[in-house]
Amino acid sequence: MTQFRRELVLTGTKSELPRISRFVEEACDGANVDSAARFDLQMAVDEACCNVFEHAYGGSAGELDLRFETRGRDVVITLHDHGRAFNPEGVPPPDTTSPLEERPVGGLGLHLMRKLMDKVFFAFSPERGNTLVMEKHKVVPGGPKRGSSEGRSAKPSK
Amino acid sequence: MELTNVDMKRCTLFRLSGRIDGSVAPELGSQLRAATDAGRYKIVVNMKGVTYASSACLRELIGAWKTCRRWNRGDLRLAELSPNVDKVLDLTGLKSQLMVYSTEAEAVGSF
Repeated sequence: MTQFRRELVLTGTKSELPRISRFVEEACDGANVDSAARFDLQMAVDEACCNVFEHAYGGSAGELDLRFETRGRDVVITLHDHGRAFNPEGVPPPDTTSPLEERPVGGLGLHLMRKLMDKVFFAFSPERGNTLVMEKHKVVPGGPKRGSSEGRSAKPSK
Repeated sequence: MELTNVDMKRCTLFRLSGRIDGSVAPELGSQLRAATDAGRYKIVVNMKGVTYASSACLRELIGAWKTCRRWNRGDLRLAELSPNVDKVLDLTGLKSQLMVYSTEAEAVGSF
């Protein structure tokens, strides 16, 4: 059951990351997310969106649709883009145990998303583009704060 | 992100603050490269005021760390990590690889 929902649709580049962070912060406030989980959600979304701007759109401006919702006590983040298809299997997990000199620099963003969230799922279709769903479980202690509304969208600002 | 740096007798000290996400991390990288390009391979990065450090920030730090340590000519050491930065370094296995000091004075004095 969806209890709380916010959506942010924007077209932009990495310069939008601070705005996306504010969106997640406000959504966490609205959904009354546990304070201990807020950093994890913020970071996972930031890393996911940075990957979209950097890799799916290759640095060019692109459209991104970010949804934040609660289902029971869980937070579910859904991210859509229409950039290049992303195959997570093509990103080897970073070796976090070998000496740093021997490690390639990269793959940390996806690694962090998987560490910080309970479930991370990627899909691609020619019609919908890339879809990423991330879940953080048992981080909403009660119902949403008064005044929250379902399906309300944040207006893209100029 | 706010960044200042000062050349000290034994090392170059960077003081960072604010949010370092993918939109500003390249600026950090270019400032670190400016130091190493000038032959400053002993670097301390004080991260006391850093509220958020993304993987893009870590990539810049690792890149500079590798440049500094090449041929044993120097090192990049961190000081005064905030709890959030500490957590990210822990999750990425970097905490055991980079030299981390609880105070800036200790980090500077280590060179």
